[in-house]
Amino acid sequence: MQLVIDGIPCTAQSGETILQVARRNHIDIPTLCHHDALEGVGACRLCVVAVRAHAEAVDAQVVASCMYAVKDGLQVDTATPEVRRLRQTVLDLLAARCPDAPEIQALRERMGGDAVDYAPATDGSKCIMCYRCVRACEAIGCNAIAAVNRGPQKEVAPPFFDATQRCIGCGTCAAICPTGHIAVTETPQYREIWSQRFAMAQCAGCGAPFMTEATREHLAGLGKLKPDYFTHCAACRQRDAAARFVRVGT
Amino acid sequence: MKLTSIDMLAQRREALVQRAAALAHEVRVCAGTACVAAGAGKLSDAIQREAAAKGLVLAVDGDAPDAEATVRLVNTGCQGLCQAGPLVRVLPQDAFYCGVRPKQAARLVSEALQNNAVIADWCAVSPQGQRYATRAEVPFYRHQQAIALEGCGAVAPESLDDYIAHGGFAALVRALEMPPEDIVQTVEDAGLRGRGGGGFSTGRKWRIAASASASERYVICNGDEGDPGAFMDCAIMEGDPFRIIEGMAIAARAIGAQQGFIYVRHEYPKAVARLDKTIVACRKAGLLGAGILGAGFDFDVEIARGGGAFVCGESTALMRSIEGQVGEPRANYIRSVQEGLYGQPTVLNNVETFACVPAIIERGAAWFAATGTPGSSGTKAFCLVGKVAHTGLIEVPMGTTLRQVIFDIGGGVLDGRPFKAVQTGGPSGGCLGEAQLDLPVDFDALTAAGSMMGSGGMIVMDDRTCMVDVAHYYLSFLQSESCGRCVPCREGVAQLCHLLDTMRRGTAKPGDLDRAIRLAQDIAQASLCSLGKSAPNPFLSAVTHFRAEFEAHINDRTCSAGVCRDLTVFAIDAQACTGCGLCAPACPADAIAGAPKQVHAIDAQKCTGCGACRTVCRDDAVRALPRNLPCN
Amino acid sequence: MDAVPRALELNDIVAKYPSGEPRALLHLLQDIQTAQGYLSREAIGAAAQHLGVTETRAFQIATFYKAFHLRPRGRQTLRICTGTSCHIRGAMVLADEVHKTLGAGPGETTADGAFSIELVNCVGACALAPVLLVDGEMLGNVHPGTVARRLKRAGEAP
Repeated sequence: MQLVIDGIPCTAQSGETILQVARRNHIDIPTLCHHDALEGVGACRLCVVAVRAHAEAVDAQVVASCMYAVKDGLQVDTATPEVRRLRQTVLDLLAARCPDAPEIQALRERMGGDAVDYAPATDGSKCIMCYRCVRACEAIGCNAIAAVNRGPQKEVAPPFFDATQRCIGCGTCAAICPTGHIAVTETPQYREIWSQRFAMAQCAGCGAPFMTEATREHLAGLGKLKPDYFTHCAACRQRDAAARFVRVGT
Repeated sequence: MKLTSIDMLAQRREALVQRAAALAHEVRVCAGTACVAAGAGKLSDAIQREAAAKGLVLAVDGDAPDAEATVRLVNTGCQGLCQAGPLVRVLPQDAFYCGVRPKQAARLVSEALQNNAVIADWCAVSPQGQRYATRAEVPFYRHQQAIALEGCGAVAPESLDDYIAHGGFAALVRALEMPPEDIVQTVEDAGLRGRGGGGFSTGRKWRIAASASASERYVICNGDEGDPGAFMDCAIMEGDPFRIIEGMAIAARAIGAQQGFIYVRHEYPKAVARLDKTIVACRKAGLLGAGILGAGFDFDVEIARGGGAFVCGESTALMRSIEGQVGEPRANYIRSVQEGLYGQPTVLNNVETFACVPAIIERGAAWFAATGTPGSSGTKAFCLVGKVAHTGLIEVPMGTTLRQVIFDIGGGVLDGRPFKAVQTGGPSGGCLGEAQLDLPVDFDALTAAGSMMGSGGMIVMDDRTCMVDVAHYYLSFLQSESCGRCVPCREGVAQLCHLLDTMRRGTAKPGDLDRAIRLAQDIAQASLCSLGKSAPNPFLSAVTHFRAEFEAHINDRTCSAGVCRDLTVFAIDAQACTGCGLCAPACPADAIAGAPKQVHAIDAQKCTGCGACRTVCRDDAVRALPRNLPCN
Repeated sequence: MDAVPRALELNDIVAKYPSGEPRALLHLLQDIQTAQGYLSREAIGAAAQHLGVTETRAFQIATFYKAFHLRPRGRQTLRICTGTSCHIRGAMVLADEVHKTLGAGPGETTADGAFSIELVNCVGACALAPVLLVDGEMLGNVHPGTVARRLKRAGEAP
């Protein structure tokens, strides 16, 4: 199907989102909660755009481009003054929520609009409630954390704000967080995250810690990965694979 | 007794109507929320005791009458004039009694029933002192027209027999005898629009669901009535529950659904209990379940209870709640009528919408469309509350003006104070001022004026209501009800609420009003669901019609209504004070002193600005004054 | 409120629901709370296990819906209606007065365990605004100066 984004004709397949099509055509739409590996939530609203059903339509609707499935004839505007103002407001609000998150401050400055300073609404954390961590945890199959409470009190937590057996200490949540909100402490022997201490498994090749024992167990249980995944770190596996290629070649 | 055929239902109805005709009187005691709180339950018990003592045999609610019974006593749903309860209506003379106390039961039995007299001093009375001998004459009722509320206040809510005797399930029979497409066409031609506030064409919604290809379809009744100040749906669920089932069954027949749900707000346990009994009774009678009335139609209904979340009134959140998830809405890019509950086509309609359906099927689309306005046919139920003389539950033809509702039906502003504003549409709605009083109430006229009709809550405000406080109230409500998923609503509503709070407290800065307006507009545009998108409406409409009041709070730090406690102290006007002494015990701060029959005085240092004294004063002797704020 | 008798064991309540049906979670939690007055950690865990949902999800649900309380409650619940009609007829003044009289505010339980206090959404008795509920009993037209007296009367036997 055909649609128009910022005056540029684009082709798309049914089921694609505006964001996917825009990025393929090098049209930049800022995002925060979006992640290619995760199902969309449309929570941050930073990616909002204005759409009209067809070229002659007058009424525009504001939608989240990461969630909206493209339609034939759709007219999309990603950078009108109205849209940019909405993005500015989203960032102004997030800045008031997380004054200590430099990533948000940087995005806000880059937006470069008529910024408004709202009253600080911070609990001292850097969480912007983008849902990346909880979605990732669900995708991995652990479901150790969720968004609990409601409204401004909403926060990411394990059940009862306590250590949970469901957490395997894989650290994906911390890695995928845009602001570094999730606290992780690591030593060669252990990793501490979400109120638990996890023993680290050592690589059979180089002895370096490469994943928690609990993660190893969980991944092995999936039955989809080769045995050396659970005994060797990525660097060693790569070296061994390269060595095999070399032997095959000669 | 199972009704295994349409003929059996007709015969049952015939027998019940004859049975009812044999009784000389019917006494309808209102058992709505307010009347029960005022003692209606005890009144009903007392009537039964007195009747027994006087040898008058009663049939109660839907029970089969004894051979000697001459009077039926019905504990009905809400009869509408809530603040004048307990209400009693005696038929056939249509006598209407207000404020009947349990200890008056003996007189009711002997004079009204045994002697067939009308008890004048219990009748409703006009401001000029004229007594209304019948309910039909009472202005509150005279201007109303009941369709959705037709059975509420008349039938015995838990009695299937009584519902059948009043014509119940005749519409379902008709629907079973028409092609499903004709049912849809009838509802569409009638012009029925969603009574929950959205106003979407009900017929068109059913048509889309009926034509979507799917293995299952669902019918859901939205009983999550969360707008503060609205209890129309509560009244229907408690007062005429069989009507809802009938409406849902007709919808199910129309779209090809076999399973329905009624989602009832957590705060309505009585409605849950009553609907539960209703469903059980219907199943036993073969009016729900497999093979309804032997007509090859299967349909059953389950109750889903809400968990105390206003956001679950939003259709996608409601469906997620039924599925056992958190009530977080999803972006409405795929309509739930196509992919709703469990991803299947789902018709979700409000309680009142379903309550209109049986009458439309029975009396026809043209009949329904003949009432109301071209764009909004039929009637609408409202809860007229707040600073109005006659608070209660009403139903009027669409197109009735705000002025007619508030003054002709509502009796004007409480205590004769000046009218200031009327709020409709709850937290998604807006307020209108005196200049808009002649607007007709329907789906379109109020929206064009910057407000909206909404689900039916209509709150009247007088000069002692502060519009800044009202805007703050709604935003505070929404802040605690926001699901928290998206930034504009979760963060934005809280920030907007905070800005309003500073205005209430006199700590707002110049430019804050424009900042608030801009933020409000952005929240409306960027939010994920309709809760966020409509959240700014009460504030924006208040600013449109009462901007000067906001500016006075910000620039002058004054609250002319005398509501914002940080900006107000109260003082007693020595000229007007009669020394009656009502104010002193009402004051929670012990700030009022005065000897009996002597002018009283308020200690400004102790006064917390709560206004309780002004509320109880009958001589209009209490004045609101600006509090002396530091750094003024 | 028609309720499951308070004495029922957790297992009996849970067993009323078919095992492995996630969509019954809200209902089951409501039944447990009606019987036990609040949702203990044990109760949430038992419900989750029986219905085949994660404890994570059950905790999420228990904290999202305001009907649920995760701490033990007072012997009676005092609810102050904050519907619009009640609000403009002084509900917040009433709430302050309740706080002063009982020494506990919304979301709290009095030190003697007698009352848990809640602000609630509109209860549908707008004609009687402002409204207080003591368990199921509705007190209408409550003025700030009369709070102490009316609470005392409500606490007494009917």
